[in-house]
Amino acid sequence: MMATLRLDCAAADDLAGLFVLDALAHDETAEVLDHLATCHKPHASFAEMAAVTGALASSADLVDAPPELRARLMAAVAATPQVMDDVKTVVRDDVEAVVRGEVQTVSPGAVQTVSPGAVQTVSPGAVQTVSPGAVGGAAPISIDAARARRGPSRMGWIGLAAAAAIVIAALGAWNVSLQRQVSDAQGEVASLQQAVTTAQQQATDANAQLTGLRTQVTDTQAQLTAALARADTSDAQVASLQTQIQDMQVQVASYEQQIAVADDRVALIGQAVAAATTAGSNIATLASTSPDSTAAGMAIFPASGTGYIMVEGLPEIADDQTYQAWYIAGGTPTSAGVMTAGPHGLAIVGGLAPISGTDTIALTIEPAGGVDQPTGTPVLVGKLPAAVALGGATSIQ
Amino acid sequence: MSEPNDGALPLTPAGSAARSDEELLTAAASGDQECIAHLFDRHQGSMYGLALRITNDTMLAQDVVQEAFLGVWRNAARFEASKASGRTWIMSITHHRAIDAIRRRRPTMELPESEMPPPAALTIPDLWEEVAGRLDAGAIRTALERLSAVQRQAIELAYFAGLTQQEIAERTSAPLGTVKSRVRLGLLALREELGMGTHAEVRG
Repeated sequence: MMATLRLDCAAADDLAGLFVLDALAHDETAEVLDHLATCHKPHASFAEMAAVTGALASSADLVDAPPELRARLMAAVAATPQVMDDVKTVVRDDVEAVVRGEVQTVSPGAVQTVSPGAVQTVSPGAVQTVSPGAVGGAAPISIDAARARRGPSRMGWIGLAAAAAIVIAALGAWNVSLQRQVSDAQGEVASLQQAVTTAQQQATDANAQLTGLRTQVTDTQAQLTAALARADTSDAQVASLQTQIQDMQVQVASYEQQIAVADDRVALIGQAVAAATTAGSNIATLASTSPDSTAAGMAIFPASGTGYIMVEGLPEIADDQTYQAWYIAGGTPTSAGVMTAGPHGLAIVGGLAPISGTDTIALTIEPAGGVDQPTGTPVLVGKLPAAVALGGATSIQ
Repeated sequence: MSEPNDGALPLTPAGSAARSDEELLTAAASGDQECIAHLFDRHQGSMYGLALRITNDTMLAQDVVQEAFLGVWRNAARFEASKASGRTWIMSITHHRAIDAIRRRRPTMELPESEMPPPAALTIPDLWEEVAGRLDAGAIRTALERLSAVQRQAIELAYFAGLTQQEIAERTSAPLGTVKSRVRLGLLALREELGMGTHAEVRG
């Protein structure tokens, strides 16, 4: 059992009944999961209690679901990728992006070695991850691909919190080790610098296209001038050339806008890199909750000044949706603002002033413009090694 | 911990319908959609019934079943037969989803009727492996009724109404420690009533 846990074995067993009935508040659930994920004692009471709840489930009347539900569900099944193997897939992308083979968690009994081939993207043998197996049947895994949903989800914050708790519990041992072993934040910086390179490349690409386009505008304007100078030029030809010029000017404006956005991002990422390398920064590694997503990122809250959340590889979402970041303080979400993913799914926000007690950062997909309270389950989640103190490690700009 | 369930559907000896939940889950973990469909057909009545009982809302219950079953599909590789039977696992995911859904809906919701509806005829084999299919819903209800009133109330408020221990304590004007022990002792008594005691001890 690890020293960071709040529950001892007896206290965890004492909560077994309430746990299997889903009658614990989510912070209590998280504590139990934390304990089970890292304690190597058997805790048979959980499996026994879970078996009894199986009986309770069977005490409800059998009611056939509507046939259309089956059709809808099987279509969703066909479209929904599966978790390949264990929790390792949840952290795989993050591990790949951040740790780069440098981290090894060592929690005897609670940790299983990754099976060969399960994490091809990670250096063989370099990474171990925790198994949620100790939780057994009593731990519902509630993280689903949001895209598999039928319309807006009715699942709400409790679902998000529970899912976050489960992911965090699973990541617990890994995170503790990660924080200890890469306290110099080298991995995070490597990832951020990669993001800077990506953003700079975007700016360079946009610049090149802009230059080409400006040349075209100039050429077309010259054609127009020449055409107007000739007596036989028809009005239609003039109109056509004018339209071309207008279209290209619209595109020029669009590229200029893109460059401005990319420049802003580069600047923001530069600041985030600086913050990540500053001693005393509170950094959460954000892991995707969906194994088919390559999204990964981090939240950085320096000891003074405002914080940053940066994510790469965010999947495209519908025009009427947005990514939204959340501060979670003791299970209570507060919006940290909406995040717009640019090319390569890169999104960053700065100037963040997390509310006191924030211990977790999560991203959800929400209706465009954002919402007051999350309505979806998290697509990324990460736990801060230290909760944000009262009075704030940060100040509002 | 459960016995193999191969013989549970003797009328369909061939194909995936004859296979146990655990075998179907293992196959589903490798992407077998036929097997997951069989699991759905086998458990949809229980899943939807439980979701309806908890949510008292047909649309919400369908959402719950969909979310839960997609969770089963996606996470089939995480199922460990040594820790729970397939049915217990599936139903615990369904329960968790349903509780999520009604907690989300609070505080405007009406708590579900504590009075149970009349039992429906069991038209498909009950594949609840822990007791080798000996028990139907009626038997389980009978066992529940044998609990002390306060134990039954605590368990039902938790399991069907989705109250947390804190909320149960407030609603029943009982100290938290009392709620905790009512739930624990009630579940142990239920296990005893259902003849699951020795089974669990062997499992250790």
